[in-house]
Amino acid sequence: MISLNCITKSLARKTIFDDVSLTIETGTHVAITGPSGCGKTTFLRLIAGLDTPDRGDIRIESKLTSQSGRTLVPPHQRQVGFVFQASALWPHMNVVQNILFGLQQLPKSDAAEHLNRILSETGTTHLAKRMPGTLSGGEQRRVAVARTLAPEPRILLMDEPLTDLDSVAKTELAELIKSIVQNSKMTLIFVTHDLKEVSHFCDRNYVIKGAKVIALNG
Amino acid sequence: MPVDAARILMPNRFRFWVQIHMPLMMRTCIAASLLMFVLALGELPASLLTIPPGTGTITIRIYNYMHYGATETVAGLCLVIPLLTIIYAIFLFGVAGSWRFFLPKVPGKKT
Ligand SMILES: Nc1ncnc2c1ncn2[C@@H]1O[C@H](COP(=O)(O)OP(=O)(O)O)[C@@H](O)[C@H]1O
Ligand SMILES: [Mg+2]
Repeated sequence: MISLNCITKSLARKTIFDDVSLTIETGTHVAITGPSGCGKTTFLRLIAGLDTPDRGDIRIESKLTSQSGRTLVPPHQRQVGFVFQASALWPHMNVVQNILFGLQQLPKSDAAEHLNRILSETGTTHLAKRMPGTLSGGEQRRVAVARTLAPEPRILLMDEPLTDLDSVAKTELAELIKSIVQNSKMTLIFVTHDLKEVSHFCDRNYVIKGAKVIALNG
Repeated sequence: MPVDAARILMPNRFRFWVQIHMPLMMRTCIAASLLMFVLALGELPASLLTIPPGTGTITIRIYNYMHYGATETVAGLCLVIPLLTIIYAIFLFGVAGSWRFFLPKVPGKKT
């Protein structure tokens, strides 16, 4: 369970969230939407621990992770995975190196096994030796998804992963994400500006409006 | 954002710095080093205060030759300064080209 209690967050003197409280049950698939600049990315960053709330606290599985401007559990200990809006692959590493970065605690043989499984699951085996700069937009997203899933996070945060893709790449990636989340116990928080994208795999929808997070029915 | 991605997947601080931060900063550092090289090469007042007796940087020599009126030598040495800068710049381009590991290519958002 992820719970946000009375979260207030301002960036550059603009109030992004004003006294927001919200609970997300473990294993649910949640979609978040809202107009550009309303704070969707900020919402994910707060849960990941990349940003801290000015006031209020965040708990993950009843463990206090952030409280009133302090980060109590750093991002890498929260078991979250984050697929960033622009993929954010490391440009100086090839696909395999990108994925292996998050697997360095594992023994070599385990990491290799893990790597091969994740490459085939995400359909990126043929891209293994390529540099991110040589990949198409859709391929970059796939690799970003692979890199995020490799350490087996319990919470998957996705920031508009389908935006800016052509329709074929979009459909393929949507299918991949759907099959991944439906076959696992992960909690998914999926940010999108188009709820149609997620209607077939998200249980609950929220919209960010006027610095509040509001549940949508239906 | 690439740095944020590493903050989430971070195996340890050392690897975070060596594998992510330093390579991403490398271009900027190379440019900054060229800038500092040019500034330091032409620096006179600070060199005058800090050199040990008997030695001299190129600017100090120019300064002294000017005192003795050796105009040709001064002109010659003045030409050496941009030459050194060019040599260093070429060296840096070489480094930049060969150390691919340290030279991030920025991936296009959309291809
Ligand atoms: N680091 C920052 N410093 C100042 N303002 C920021 C920063 N990051 C985001 N913002 C502002 O916060 C608001 C919400 O940003 P964001 O969460 O990225 O919106 P969304 O993802 O919904 O488009 C925007 O108005 C943006 O300009
Ligand atoms: Mg955003």
